[in-house]
Amino acid sequence: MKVLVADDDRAFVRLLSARLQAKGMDVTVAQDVVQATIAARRTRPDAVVLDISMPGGTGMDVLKRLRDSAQSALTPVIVVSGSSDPALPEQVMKLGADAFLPKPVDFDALLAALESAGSPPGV
Amino acid sequence: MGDRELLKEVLEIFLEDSEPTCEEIARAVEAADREALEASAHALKGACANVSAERARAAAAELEEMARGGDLGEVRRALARLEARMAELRPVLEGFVRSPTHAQESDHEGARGR
Repeated sequence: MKVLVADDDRAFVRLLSARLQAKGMDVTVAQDVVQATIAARRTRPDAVVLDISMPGGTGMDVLKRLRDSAQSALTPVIVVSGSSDPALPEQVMKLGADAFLPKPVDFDALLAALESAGSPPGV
Repeated sequence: MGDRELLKEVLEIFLEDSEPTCEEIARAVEAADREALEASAHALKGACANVSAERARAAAAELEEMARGGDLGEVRRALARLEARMAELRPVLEGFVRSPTHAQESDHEGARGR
């Protein structure tokens, strides 16, 4: 399973990558909005873990672009954020996210969300 | 990679990244730039949460809240609290990062030819 992790928090990305790789997942990392958009097109991930607060815009911009593209319209996207804005989870779900997890992220919950959302049909 | 080795790597990242972020926070406070303060304090809050540095995380969260429309009158005092928390935290983390890796993990490293 190919997972794109779009987050500029290097320590979080390192921890998450270690967990995902231990599960046999292939991880690509993007640290800003432009990188995330390009990586999503190039690597065609099976699922995306997307932070909201990133350089060059927000994760919302990335989510909109993913949903506007036929290639990634159905790709599972799990949004993670440390924002205290209570409206954020509903906003990202309306934009087409598959799940919202607050930071600090419960890695087990994230893995479970990825495994359920990102399993290719028939697997 | 062992858990301790991964933890050290994550702490090294924290030590490297948190210092410039703290400087950005101080510059934003100086300039009374709410947007820059919110972004930099949010980043540091998340970084502190990654390493379970609860008191520093709370101090960064306080600055983020002030930036999001709170009273900036107390912002310099909040910055001083954050800087004090970070000054407490850094030597502890640096000590852990410099500590020898467990002998068993060193053996594993050798087995991988590093």
